[in-house]
Amino acid sequence: MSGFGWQEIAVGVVVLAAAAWLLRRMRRAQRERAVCSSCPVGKLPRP
Amino acid sequence: MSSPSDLAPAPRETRVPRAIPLSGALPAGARRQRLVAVVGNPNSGKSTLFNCLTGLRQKVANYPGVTVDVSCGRCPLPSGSTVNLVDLPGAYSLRPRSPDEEIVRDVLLGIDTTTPLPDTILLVLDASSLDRQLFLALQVLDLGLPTILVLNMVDIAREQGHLIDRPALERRLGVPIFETVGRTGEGLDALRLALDQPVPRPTVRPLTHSDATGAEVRALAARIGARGRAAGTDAEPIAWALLCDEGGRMWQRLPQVAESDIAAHRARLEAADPEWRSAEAARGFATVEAILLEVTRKVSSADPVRRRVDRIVTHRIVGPLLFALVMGVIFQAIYAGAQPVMDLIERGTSWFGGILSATLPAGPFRSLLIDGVVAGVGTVLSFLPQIALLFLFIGILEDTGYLARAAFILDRLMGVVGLPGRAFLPLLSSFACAIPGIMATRTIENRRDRLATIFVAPFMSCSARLPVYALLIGAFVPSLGWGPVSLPGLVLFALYLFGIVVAFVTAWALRRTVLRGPRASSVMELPPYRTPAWRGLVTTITGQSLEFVKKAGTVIVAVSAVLWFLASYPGGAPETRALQTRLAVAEQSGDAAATTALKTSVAGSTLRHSFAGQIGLALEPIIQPLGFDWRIGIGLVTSFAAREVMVSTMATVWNLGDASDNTVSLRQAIREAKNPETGASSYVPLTGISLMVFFALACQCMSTVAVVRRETGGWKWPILMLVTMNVLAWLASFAVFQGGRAMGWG
Repeated sequence: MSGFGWQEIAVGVVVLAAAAWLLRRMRRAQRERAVCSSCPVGKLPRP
Repeated sequence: MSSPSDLAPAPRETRVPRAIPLSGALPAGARRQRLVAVVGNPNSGKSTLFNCLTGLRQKVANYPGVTVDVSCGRCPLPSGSTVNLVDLPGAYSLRPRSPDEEIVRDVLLGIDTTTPLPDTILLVLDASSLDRQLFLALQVLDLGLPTILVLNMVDIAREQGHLIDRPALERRLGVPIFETVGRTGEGLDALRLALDQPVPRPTVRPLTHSDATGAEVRALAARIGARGRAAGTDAEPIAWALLCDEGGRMWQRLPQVAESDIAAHRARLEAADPEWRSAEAARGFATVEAILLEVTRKVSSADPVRRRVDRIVTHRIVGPLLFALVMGVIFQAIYAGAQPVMDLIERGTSWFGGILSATLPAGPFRSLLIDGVVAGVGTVLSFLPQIALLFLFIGILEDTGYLARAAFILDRLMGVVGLPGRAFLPLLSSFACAIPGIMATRTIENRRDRLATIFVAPFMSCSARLPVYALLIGAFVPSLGWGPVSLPGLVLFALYLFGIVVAFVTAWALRRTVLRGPRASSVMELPPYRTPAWRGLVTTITGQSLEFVKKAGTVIVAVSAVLWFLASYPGGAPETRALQTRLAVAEQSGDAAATTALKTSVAGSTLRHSFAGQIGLALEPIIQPLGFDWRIGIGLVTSFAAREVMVSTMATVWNLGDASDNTVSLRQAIREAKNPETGASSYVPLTGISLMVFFALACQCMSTVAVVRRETGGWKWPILMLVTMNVLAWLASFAVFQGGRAMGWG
């Protein structure tokens, strides 16, 4: 893995995007739980 | 040890496929859509009807207690308008004995904090057992809300010889009545037409109070007044429900009445009529009997074939044997039936990896795609056939009505360990996933029973464990067979059985220590035998399979990519560099054998010194006594994200540790793994058994922990569960591995 070419750049983009997506998913799940527990119509998720 | 706050009133979870605004979500001034609540006894076909009317896929089955939560959907009407439908849990009475029945009472009285008062009630009765269903109907009609009564499953009623005079019943109850068959859609057009028209309030109030009770009810109703209750509701049913709710928490929903006021009314009622508590039931069942005499006729006796079959299926000795046989056959079929498709998916993965390998130049991006994404996702996907077959068999057993018989058979055994009969359904649901299983414990009335069931539900082998079991069985268990019976199928069955046994032993221990108390008796209704609703079954299995594929295409792809990075970098360790120098020399000298061996060594060294490798190595001292090495350690860490991730992790780790350019078969790679220092096999079958035992018992699912926290209303029980299960898993694996070695099996 010596040198720095398009493969390294692609790896960086893919891995960072995957990590960011996983983090966002975790945060969204947490936020949805919080919304549902205080939502005036209970079980209905906000659009 | 347990305090009354240990079990929070069952919180509601969102299981709504589409967001539908009800009253609270609408902007001020906007016209609210009509809300129709589907109400009825458990297993009267409410959810099937709800699915037919809304086109949704709410879970249905042929046994009581499947719906434990409120679900919403939109029902299109012939005029082009729509109504919102809410599917409420099944209830036997409006005097609740369990959290799910509380939901029904509160919604129908308009005092639920989350669901507004329905404009119309769709009261669903199983026409084949009107005698047991009419009591709830009388209570609902007594509320005075606009109601449509649905006689569902009229086909079964006709088969069983029940003739119902519908016009006479309409006159007697004072509401419009429709006959339907939810499974085939018969009668639904007429029902949609009726929902499109204004629905009248019942013209009859069938349950009247005695003079003394009526006076107290009216006095309490006057206290409640108009403040704090929904417009359109009558205060008297609320007052009566309050008086009946002794020891309950309904009074907390009505701030205008103090608990002491209700107690004072109860005391006066007690003095005037000591029998007031049972008066409603006595009056109600007398009315039911009178109605049945007037409007129903039985033209033949109960189905003799069903009786004969039930006598065998629920027999004290034959019943359990038959149940074990059925389960054994199912696991054999899952293992054998899925194998050809699994091999096909594995070959497809390998072929796709080969194409990528031929197309892309060597480098980190190619490695990321082949060793990370394709290996990880392909391996997880290869277990899809087994999961689909598991859901198919559970669906068939549910639909035919056999599972209710299985619950009856196991009730005696569950009684011995202190679990109630009603725990069967939650435990059964946990074979698919512990989360709906834990939510289904809301049907259990007794708090201690419910806690014990919640605690042991995650021991049931969920579908996420299946890929891990299948991988390890494929790698370590020889494919021996005796006729239709195969050893791998037997081992799979044994693993499921192991989870059940540990759950029962744990329940037994809990009910004799922290959850000591009498076991509540339970009444079980055996539903009629039915042919499976194949279309519904296919829809459900397709939905679940797509969900699994979606997970593989999103979460597993992302986790595989991140894990590949963690298992490939930072690189450049002195040991790896030295090996790379030797590799370059070997390549220059044209020594093919040395080149291949050194390539494998370089790959192994890079992995060992990677971020993930370091995590695995740090864990090794804890897991070595169980027969696991640092590579399995990496899998154990990532499996806390989701159990299936263990499989994709192993695939990535083994592919990175392998010097070849192609995707390797994980099962084969594990089987053939060699210790580079000794040359001996890295893993023996005992390692596989130890790992399977660990996975059968460990609590690795964080979503389950979160649900237990929500259902129990605190952190005490989820933490206790997490610690107990993981300590138990470690000890059991230790005992298996060390015990096996001591006996010379290792």
